[in-house]
Amino acid sequence: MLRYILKRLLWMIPILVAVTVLIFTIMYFVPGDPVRIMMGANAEEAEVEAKREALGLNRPYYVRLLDYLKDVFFHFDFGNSLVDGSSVTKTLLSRFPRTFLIAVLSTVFAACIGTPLGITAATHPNSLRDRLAVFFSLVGVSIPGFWLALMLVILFSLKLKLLPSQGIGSFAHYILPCLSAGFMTIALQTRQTRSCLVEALREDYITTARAKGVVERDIVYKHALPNAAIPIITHLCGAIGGKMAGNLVIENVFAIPGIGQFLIRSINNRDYYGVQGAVIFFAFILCVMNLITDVLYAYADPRIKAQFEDSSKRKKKAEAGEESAA
Amino acid sequence: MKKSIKAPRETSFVIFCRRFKKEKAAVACLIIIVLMALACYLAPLIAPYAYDEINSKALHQLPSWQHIFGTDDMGRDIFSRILYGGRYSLAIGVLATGLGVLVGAIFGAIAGFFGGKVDMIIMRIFDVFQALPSILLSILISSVLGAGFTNMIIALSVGSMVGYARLLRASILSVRKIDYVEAATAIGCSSARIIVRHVIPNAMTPMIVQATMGVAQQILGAATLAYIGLGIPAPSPEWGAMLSAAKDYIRTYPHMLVFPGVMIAITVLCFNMIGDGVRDALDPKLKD
Repeated sequence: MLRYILKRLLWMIPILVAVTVLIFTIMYFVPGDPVRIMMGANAEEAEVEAKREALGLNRPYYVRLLDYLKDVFFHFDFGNSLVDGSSVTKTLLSRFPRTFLIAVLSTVFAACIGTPLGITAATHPNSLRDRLAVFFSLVGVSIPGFWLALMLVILFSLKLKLLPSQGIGSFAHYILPCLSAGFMTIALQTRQTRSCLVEALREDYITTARAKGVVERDIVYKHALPNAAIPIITHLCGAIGGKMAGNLVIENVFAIPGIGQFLIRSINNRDYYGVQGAVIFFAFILCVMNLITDVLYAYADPRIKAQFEDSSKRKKKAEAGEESAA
Repeated sequence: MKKSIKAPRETSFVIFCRRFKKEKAAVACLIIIVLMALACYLAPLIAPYAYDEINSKALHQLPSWQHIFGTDDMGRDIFSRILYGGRYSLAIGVLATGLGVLVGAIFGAIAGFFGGKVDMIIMRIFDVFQALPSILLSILISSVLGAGFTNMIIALSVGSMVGYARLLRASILSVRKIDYVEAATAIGCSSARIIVRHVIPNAMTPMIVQATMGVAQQILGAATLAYIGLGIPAPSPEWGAMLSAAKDYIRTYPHMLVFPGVMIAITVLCFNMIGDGVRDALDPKLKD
């Protein structure tokens, strides 16, 4: 198992390097001059040129790329923002907790509502309840998150004046963002729970349990649910990683000073270093969350754990083992 | 020879249609989408006003009989703008999915069929793409390409391409081992013929389902891009761009935000339900 984790951690390095190269190259082709935006339209051409030279933006592509890679991977330094000269690394780290908090809170919220819905649907297949739950989950994945956020603001902040519409500060500030960010996850969670539980309820051991006269409630909660829970829980962990980047527009709607808001501001200002830093940071988080998900999965399910150990023992087939794990 | 090949194909399509007809909700959604597309296509005939007709005497009007969805900050009729905007939103959703499926299918088929080194290289490149959430990738690419109809389609399809490639590769890997592929190899069919005639048709089912739901995802993605200002440039009405323009008036004229969002939600919901219906019709085993 340790070998597997180590292998995955090492494999993250080439992935992140490749992501860095990809993002750097994409940003290299972004039209618009950041220095011009920074200094305003009235600045003298000579001044702009001097500033560009000072920032090293006139050097050729590969020199800048190698420099950047060196900074990121040896000094963990994402460079300085072209807009205000502040350190991108510091900005990212100071903004990370809020982005993370919203991702976690909204996922927890979604799990609390989605799981029971999924269980009801699965235990009453093809009933009205099931149909309603499935329909609800389809509606959930169909509403744009940022639009739902705006509607919630109109209802709860502007009409009812119950909750603040922007910023951070108290717990109340987090309610609307988490609600709108979690809504789609509720739907996904309902579907996931339903399909996993339906599958578990078809297994032979359920028939055995029924045959020996176990009450239906125990069949669902003691026999089927624990077996269905593994993919459900790991799915949730994976969701947190994806949500952090997925919430960037919602962060913007609620003016939450998280990484998403920083990223969009950086894109609009052509702040290369800000965009690159934020994207690489997101990629890193996603890789780590995926790794955690896979490890959790392996720990929860002895069969998968055995698979990894088997493949690492048989050295010749180690490659194949990794292939199927990926 | 030709007839005997064609006959079973038609029946499988007929079987699909018969099964799909039983999915009442999906059929209803299909009808809604067709009507919606028709209304948008015929917008010049149906729309009561032109989409860029500015009326300074009727700014920010609430819904009324003259303007059933109200008017926006320049007095333009929101209902007419939604009709015209639907042309962009629907076209972007369908075309971006088509492009994503096409490119993804090509790479997925190559990777899945040839295996070995080719497979490894393609998959490793896709690993890099997948290290980024697809919407992030779309945002970045669209900030390079700039705003516009074609650029939006490209940006969105790049984000989704990898998913289709992986899906097709996975189903090809499972189909490849089935005897009829071996038989085709044995009688000397070329690789291209085996891929196109034998493997892809049998590996298509999950792709078709995914693509139907993909249209829904792309419409949502397009709305997101437009909302953060990377959509179609200003005077053209696109649903996401309408939301983006309306968000500044949330405190004073919230009605401007409601209708474009409702249209997006209805459209996306319909595509999702059609996708569900198609899945059940194509493969009843998948239905639980």
